[in-house]
Amino acid sequence: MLLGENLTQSHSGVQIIRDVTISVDAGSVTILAGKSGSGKSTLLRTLSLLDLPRSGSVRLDGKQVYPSSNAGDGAKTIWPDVTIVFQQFFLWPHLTLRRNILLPASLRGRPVERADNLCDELGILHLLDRYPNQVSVGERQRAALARAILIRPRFLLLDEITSAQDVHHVALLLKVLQVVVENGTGLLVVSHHVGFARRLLSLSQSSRVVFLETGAVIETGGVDCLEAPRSDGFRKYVEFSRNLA
Amino acid sequence: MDIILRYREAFSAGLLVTVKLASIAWAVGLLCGILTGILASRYKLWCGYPLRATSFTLAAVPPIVVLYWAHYPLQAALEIVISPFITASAVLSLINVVVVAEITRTALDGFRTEYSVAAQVSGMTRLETLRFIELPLIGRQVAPSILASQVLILQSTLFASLISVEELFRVAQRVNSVVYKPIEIYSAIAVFFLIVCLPMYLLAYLLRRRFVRSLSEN
Repeated sequence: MLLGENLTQSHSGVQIIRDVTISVDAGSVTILAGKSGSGKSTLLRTLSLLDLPRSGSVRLDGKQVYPSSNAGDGAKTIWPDVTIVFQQFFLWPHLTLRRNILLPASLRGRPVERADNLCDELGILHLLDRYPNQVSVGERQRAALARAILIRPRFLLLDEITSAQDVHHVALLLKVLQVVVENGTGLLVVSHHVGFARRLLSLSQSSRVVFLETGAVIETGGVDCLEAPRSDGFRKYVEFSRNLA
Repeated sequence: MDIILRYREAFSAGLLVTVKLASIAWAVGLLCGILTGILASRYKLWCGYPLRATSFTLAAVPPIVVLYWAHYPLQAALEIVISPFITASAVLSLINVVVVAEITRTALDGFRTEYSVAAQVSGMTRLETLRFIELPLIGRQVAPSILASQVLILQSTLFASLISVEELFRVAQRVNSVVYKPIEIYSAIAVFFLIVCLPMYLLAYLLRRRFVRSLSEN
């Protein structure tokens, strides 16, 4: 289990995350929902120790990785067991998609035989010899996901993974992520896409939703949360999303 | 061509001095410039700002003035006499160090650290990140500019003739003063620089075109 307890985070004196406790179980899905600016991306960065929390702790399978006796050491030990696909992807522009996807996995000695199959499932197999600037934003996003999956992380944090995808490709992502969850990887997914979130939640019995507002957890629960939100904020959020769908 | 062949020993000696001057300036400039650029990017207060101030100063004062100043008033003020070759080597090296350092510092300051972060969360070690991500990306950015600046340094060796360094241009002037064949002599000098500098410029241009295209995100 990846567990962040009582996490707080601030930038330039402004508190962005306030006393948040969040957990992700192996082989389960946690959806992080909330309006823009509610602190979702910051929480992902904090939980993955990209930005060290101002206070609170992070545990991986019961072992405290932050705070640790040496600053920064915790981060080094949880990567790539915990990895993240950023909103802006950050594919390396001097490498082809193939090299982008294979490099981290091959350096870690992870099996890469599945790479072609995975890229085929994500609809980018025919693009592997191109550079990131020669493919569309959606294709780059899927390449970044392939890069992360091939590392075989135990916990995969996805920031707006459907932001540049059409419905066809959202369906492809769902199939791929289903296999990832079945293989035991825990997903923490930031998404505004309620339909996508609902489908992801159905992949595991222990999946749950966490709703953030102004940096604090307002509501948390299972898939039923999406059907009948208890808090006003979450209810409005879900209604808006339904009306737009 | 007759003139060149007749005075080939003098021209060869001049060419050797030009090559020595350029080589010293290139070697010192590249080694110390890249190191200074890295330090300037990391330690802004005691290295970055002084480097920028020096860069602005050298950009405002023509190299020939710096060379003259270092050769005459500076040495007179310090009551020392240094050979013109050493003076020219030192001045050209200093200029090259500052130019290369500024190119390096700009590239390092503008480097998107997110590329390194993406590597590290993917499990790459610090050394792997440096080898596979940071050095290739920064190298692609600085290589064309550094190459183009080295051409300018080679061309700047001509200024050394003005403080009596017996380099190629000075030899040409002296030969011309004896035989008065300016068209042949200066055309030969022009062809020499064309043969050496044009390929370097073309390479810098091609690298810039290729790398800028592959480094853009869209």
